[in-house]
Amino acid sequence: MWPGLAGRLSHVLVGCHPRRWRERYGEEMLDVLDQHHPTARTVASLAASVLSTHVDPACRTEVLSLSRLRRAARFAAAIAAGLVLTFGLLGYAAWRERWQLSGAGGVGGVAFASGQRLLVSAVGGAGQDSMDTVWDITDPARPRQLSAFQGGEPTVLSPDGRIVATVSYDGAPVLWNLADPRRPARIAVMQTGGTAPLWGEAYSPDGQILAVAYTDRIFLWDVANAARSRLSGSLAAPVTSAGEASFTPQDITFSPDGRILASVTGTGQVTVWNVSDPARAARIATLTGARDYVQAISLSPRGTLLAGRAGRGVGDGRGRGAHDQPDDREDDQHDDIGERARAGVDLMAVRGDRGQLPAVVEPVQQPRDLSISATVPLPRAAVNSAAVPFASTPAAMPWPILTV
Amino acid sequence: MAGLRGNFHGLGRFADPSLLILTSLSDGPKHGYAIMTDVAAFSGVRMEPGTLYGALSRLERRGWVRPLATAERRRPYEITAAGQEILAGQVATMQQIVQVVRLRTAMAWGP
Repeated sequence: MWPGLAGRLSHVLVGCHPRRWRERYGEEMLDVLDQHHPTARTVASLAASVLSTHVDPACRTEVLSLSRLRRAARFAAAIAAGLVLTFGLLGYAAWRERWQLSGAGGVGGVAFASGQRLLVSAVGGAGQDSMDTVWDITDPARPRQLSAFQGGEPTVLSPDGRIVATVSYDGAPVLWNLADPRRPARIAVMQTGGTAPLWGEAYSPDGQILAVAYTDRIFLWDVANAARSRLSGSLAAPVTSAGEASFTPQDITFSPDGRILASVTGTGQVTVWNVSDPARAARIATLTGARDYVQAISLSPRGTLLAGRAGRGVGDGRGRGAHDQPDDREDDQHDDIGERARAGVDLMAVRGDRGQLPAVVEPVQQPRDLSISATVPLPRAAVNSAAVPFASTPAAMPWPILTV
Repeated sequence: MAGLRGNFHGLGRFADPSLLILTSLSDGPKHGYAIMTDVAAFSGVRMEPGTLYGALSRLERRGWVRPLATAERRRPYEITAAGQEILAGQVATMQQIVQVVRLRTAMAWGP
């Protein structure tokens, strides 16, 4: 309760005691209140004192009459209503703060799975100030808040939408059970003993493997039984930065068939691994085409295209083999992708900030001979930090659902 | 021996605050806010003004504390001989309970 309001209420309540009481203790109580820092407890204590002294025969001076009883009852009802209203408003304010969609600290992370009805977002600032909120987005226009928990930064939902992987406040990967989304429950904390910062997580499409990416390695966890997760493989994936003192990768993803894992591993650099057998996972290639940050990558449904979004402006994402088209020919690039769709080639979808930003497309049918084949503009409504959806045509990309 | 709350029978929810107030006044008179801060210091209990004066009025009625002359708006209270006797009895009861607890836990859990 606000100190000013509590102080004023306290002074009013001292004056509500019976006259005999006020004459004896009123000045002393006001003196104590002047030195005290009144709180909601002070108000509640004085309200109880008012009620008890009014029913205490030793404090009453007037003969008890029906009219006085009625007045006392009305007074008690008014006090009770005031307290209920005050605490109700405080409770509502706390509830709103807990459930808010975007707090002062902004959205710290979003986990979302295409085709699933749940979305988990972290809001309310950094560290332990943030709350993870579970949303039902069955109707994207009217998302419903189901629950909230303090689990760190959510990174990815399992393909069946029943588990969300988060990065805890102390940097460990944690699995939360969302089978009952109204009661999220922590399932497992997966420690590896390393000290490198954890920057990303990705589920294999069958939900059996969780890739946990640190700045030096990527660990492949067998999460078929989430409560008994076990380490099934690891990949050396040191993050390199070109002149950037503190580069942090942005994305890691599996191919739809789960056999290929692609991860940003440096400034303008993406590494692709064969993870068909997690215990014997091996690097296929490292792409270094983009000159700038690669913030998001994705593999098309058939695993034949790798798309990445580079960081700064049209054209920055081009590299070896890219069409050398001028910036004012974005529409032509878009048409090129459209033709691929019509020819039966799956489109990649790229996540990124609002605006027209380029994507880098890599055919990976022959993974040892990778090259950047095209850049395309992003839809204006693309959203940062959300799962990557796929579509057969640009118009079918479900961007609006991600505009959280 | 009286029960743990035997001496304070009839004080209801003010029994525990009354014991703390008598303890606070045992080393000399204090006014209301000084009692609150002293109680918080030696027991960690944050007594609110409504509770403090509810208990003080009952102690005064029983003759266990006595108000002194008001200095400005502050009125000190001092413990009476009857109050000292009640407090001593209560402390003795509590000491006996503590002794029993020590003996029994030593037997059950070891020294």
